[in-house]
Amino acid sequence: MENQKIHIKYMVSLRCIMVVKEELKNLGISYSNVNLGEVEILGKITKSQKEELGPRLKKIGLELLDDKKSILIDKIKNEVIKVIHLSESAIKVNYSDYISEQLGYDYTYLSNVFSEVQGITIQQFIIFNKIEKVKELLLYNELNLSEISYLLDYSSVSHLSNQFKKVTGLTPSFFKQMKELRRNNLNNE
Amino acid sequence: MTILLADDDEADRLIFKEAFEEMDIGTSVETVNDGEELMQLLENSEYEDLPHILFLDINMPRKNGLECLKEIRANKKYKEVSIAIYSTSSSEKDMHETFLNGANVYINKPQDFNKLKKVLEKAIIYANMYQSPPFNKENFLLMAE
Repeated sequence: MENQKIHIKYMVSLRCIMVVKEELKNLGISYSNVNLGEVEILGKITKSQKEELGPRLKKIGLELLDDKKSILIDKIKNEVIKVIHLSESAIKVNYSDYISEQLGYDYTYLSNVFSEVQGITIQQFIIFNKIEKVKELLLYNELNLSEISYLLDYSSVSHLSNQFKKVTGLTPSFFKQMKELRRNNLNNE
Repeated sequence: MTILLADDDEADRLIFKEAFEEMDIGTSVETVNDGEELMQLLENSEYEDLPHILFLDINMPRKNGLECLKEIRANKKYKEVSIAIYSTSSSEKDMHETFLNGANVYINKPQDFNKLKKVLEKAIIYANMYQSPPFNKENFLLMAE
């Protein structure tokens, strides 16, 4: 049976994670993973378990997100991750059209649901993920910047470099150099 | 997201606190007056009560930001804690040294309150992303100014 994810609003600390785990245990709900804002249930959570969990979380200042929105956010994230992190070949996608098509909802609606819970827009989530992929590829040291920019569908190396600098404050080459130095530095201790 | 800030200047502590509170993105902030106090508080904290992100002034009496950074990064208990170091000087040497010693964020602290708020918000949003995959905490390096 496939695992189910539920989303919880206002989870802000490791202490919250402990408390949520405790509540899940009390209700006999098995989980494989509890992250900030997200719980992976082993199998499916029943309706009555959910009806009990909701008020318990509310008591400690947390809020169980309704199924529909929870599933949508998850699907949006998965589509973005699938395209950016799991593609083998060069990525040529219009993300808003693609996400909207895959999920069968108007993009504006999806975008609003996403921002409301995640605190950032889908576009920002896409950019963060692309930059993360760039970092990974830089560290593998197999591709140069122009190959990376082609792979991730940047219009040019300078577009990639500018976005990287805008998000991280660092140039791609400085990032790479720093990571290598840091690896050596931390290993030597 | 829980934040622990160490700064010996009371005015700065208040300004940072206000900036975090005005952001309204679910942060809770605690402050200490210097590096010694910071290390004591961390030592006395259980693993699950550790803050998500530390903001450390690079210049503090008793124990400065860099000394704290080195101690924290040498202790496995704190491996999940992100560290932001800030300074009013734009010294490249400071920046290099903080990154090399395992800081995640280097902030060149702006004097203007609104700019400061923007810079801190960026650091918080970024730190938050790194709480969950596919973001790899190892890759969390940010220079905010």
